Amino acid sequence: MFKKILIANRGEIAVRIIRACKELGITSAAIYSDADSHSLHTLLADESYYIGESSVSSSYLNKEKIINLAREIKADAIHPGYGFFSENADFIKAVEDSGITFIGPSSESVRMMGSKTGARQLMQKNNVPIVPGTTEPVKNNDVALKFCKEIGYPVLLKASAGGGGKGMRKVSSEDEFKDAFDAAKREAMNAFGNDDIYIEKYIEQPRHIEVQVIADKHGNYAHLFERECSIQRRHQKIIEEAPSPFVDDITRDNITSAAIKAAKACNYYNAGTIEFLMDKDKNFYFLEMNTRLQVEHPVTEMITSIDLVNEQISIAAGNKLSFKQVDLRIIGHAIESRIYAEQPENNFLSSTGKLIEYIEPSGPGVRVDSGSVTGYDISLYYDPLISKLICYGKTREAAISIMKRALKEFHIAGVITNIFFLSEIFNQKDFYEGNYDINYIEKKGLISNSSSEQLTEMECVAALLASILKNESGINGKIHNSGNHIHTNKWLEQNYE
Amino acid sequence: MNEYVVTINEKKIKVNFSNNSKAFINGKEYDYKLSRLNNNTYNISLDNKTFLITARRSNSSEYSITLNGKVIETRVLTALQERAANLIELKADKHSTTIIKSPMPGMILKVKKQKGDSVERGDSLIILEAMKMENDIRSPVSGTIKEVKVSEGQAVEKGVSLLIIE
Repeated sequence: MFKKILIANRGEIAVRIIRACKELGITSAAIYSDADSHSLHTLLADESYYIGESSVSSSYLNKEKIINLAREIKADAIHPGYGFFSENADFIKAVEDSGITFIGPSSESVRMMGSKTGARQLMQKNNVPIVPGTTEPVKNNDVALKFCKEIGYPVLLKASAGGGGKGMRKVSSEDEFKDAFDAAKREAMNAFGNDDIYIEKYIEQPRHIEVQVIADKHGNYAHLFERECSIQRRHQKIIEEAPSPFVDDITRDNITSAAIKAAKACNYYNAGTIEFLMDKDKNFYFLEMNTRLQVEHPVTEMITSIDLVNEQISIAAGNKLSFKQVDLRIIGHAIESRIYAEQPENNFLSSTGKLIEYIEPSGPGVRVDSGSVTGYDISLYYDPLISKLICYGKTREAAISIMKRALKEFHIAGVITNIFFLSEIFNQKDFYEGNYDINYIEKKGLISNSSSEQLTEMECVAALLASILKNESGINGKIHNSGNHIHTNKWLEQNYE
Repeated sequence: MNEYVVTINEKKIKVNFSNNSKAFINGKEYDYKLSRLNNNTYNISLDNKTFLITARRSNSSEYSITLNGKVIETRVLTALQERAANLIELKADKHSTTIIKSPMPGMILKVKKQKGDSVERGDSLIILEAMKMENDIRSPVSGTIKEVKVSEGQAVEKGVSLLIIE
C-alpha cells in the first residue's frame, strides 16, 4: 500500500480524499494556492504545501509544479479528484513516466474516452447505443446546417473536449444556428483551449442516467448501479439520486451491462462513470464516459456501502476489487443536493464573498461533504460549490423528508446560495412522484422572482430585524452587543457534564 | 414606539416596535424575541416561531438578511426619512435612471446593446465571463440605453457600472 498520497485538488473533494487516506493510515499531502491558505483541505491534511498564486494555471493546473512537488516530498501516488487534471491524458502520462502511481485510469483509457467524437466511434464499434449525430467535429457553418437539416431540429451543439455544460447550446431552428455555433465555439475555446464542436440530435424529455463502474488492474469489472442526475440548471447537475426512480429492473440490467461493455472497450481500470441519456420510453444512449471520480459519487456509496475513494486507492496499489458483483445490492435511497454560491433569481449567476456564517445540518441520514468553514472565501478563481448535502433513507420518500429538513438546518450567510431554491424543488409534487427530465427547472419556471403582492413570513421577520438593527445603530452609532432587546444566549454560558 | 419603513422587493412594510417585545408589522401585532448568537447571527422568534437569521449591514440603511436559505435585501428608513425620500423620488421619477452594475469580477465578453437601443425588462445586455462560465446579464427594467460604460474584452471588478438605462 502507498505511504504518502499527494492530492492534486482542492475544496470538498480534496477533503474527501484526505479523509480516506487517514482512514487507510496513509499520509495525506495537500496543495494550496493563495486563495486557499485557510481552506478546510489545507487545514485537514497531514501535510500542506503551497503551490502558487490563486489562478489555476499557477496552482492546481500547473503540471510541472505538481509532479516536481510529488517527487520532492516522496509521494508514491497522486489522486487528482475531479476537474483540474483528473481527465488530462498528458498529465496522467507525465505522472506515469515519473514513476509515481496515478490514482485513476491509464492515460491510454483517458485518451480513448477524452475526445467525445472518438468515444462515440468506439461505442458504436462495441454495440453501445449512441445518440444520432456527427462522429467528427463540424468544420463550418454550411456543413453543420446541412447536417442539422438531415437529422432535424432541435439539435444540441457540444464541445468535443467539453464537460459540465460549457460550450453546449440547444438550437431549435436554422435562424438560431449561427449565434449558438459561435457562442459554443467561443466558450469551448475559453474553457478547454479547443473549439471543436459536434452536433447531436436533441432527445425529447431526456433523463440523465449514469452508471458507476469500477475495475481493477486484473481485469475484474463491476458496476455499482445507476445514478439519476436529471435535475440540472445550465446543463449542470444540482440534484442527484440513487437509485433512479425511473429505472426498472430490466432497464437496470440492460444499462449496467452496456456500461460494463463501454468500460471494457477502453481497457478501463479504477472508478469511472458512463453517462447516458434515457428517453421517455427508456431507450438509452451513450453520452460520454467520465474517467474519474464524480462529484455525486456519495449517493452510490450510501446505497452500496462501498467506499469508492478507498477502493480507488486500493486498486491503484494493485489490489483486486474488494467485493464481487453478486454481493452488491441496492439498499435504501440516497439523494445529493449541491449547495452552490449562486443566484437562482439571476440566471444562476455565481455569488462571491466570505462565508460570515456557516452551520451544517446533521442528524440521522445526513452526510455533508464540504470544503468550507466559517470565514472561508468563495472566490472567483474556482467553482462556486460550497458543499454537498447527501441524505439517506430507507425509501425515496424518506430520503426526501430528510433532505427537506436538512436544507432547513443549513445556514450559510455572506454569499447568496441556492438552498431555498433546492427546497422548492423538493416540495414539488412531480419531483416527489419522480416525474421529471433534464429540462425540469427551465420548464417548471421555479426561478420566477417571487415578488408576490403578499408579504411572506420570511419578509416579516427580515423587516423586523432590519428595523431593530437600524434602531440600535441609530442610538449607538453602531451595532453593539447588549442593547435593550439583544442579549447573549444564556445557554452559551452553561456547561453540562 | 419606534416607527420604521422597510423596503423589500419593492414592497413597503411598516414596522413599529416597543422595547417590551411587541411589534406591529403592517399593523398586525406580534410578540417577538431576539437573542444574539454572535456578531451577525441572531435567533429571532415571532409569536414563538423561531428563525436562525444572519444580518449583514451594507450601509446605514441597508441590510442583507439571510434566513431559510435565502438572502433578503432590505432598506430600512425611519418613518421621517421615508417621507423625505419619497419627496425626492417624486421629483426624480420623470427621468429615472437605472445603473447596471457588475455582480462579480470578470471579463466583458460581449456587449449586446448599444447607446440609444431600447430594451425590455429581461433582455440580455452583456455577457460577463467569470468562473469560466458565460453569465448573461439581463435588464431589470424597460427603457433606453443611455450610456455603455464598458467595452468587450475589458476586465471589471464587482460593483463597477456597466451601463445606464433611462
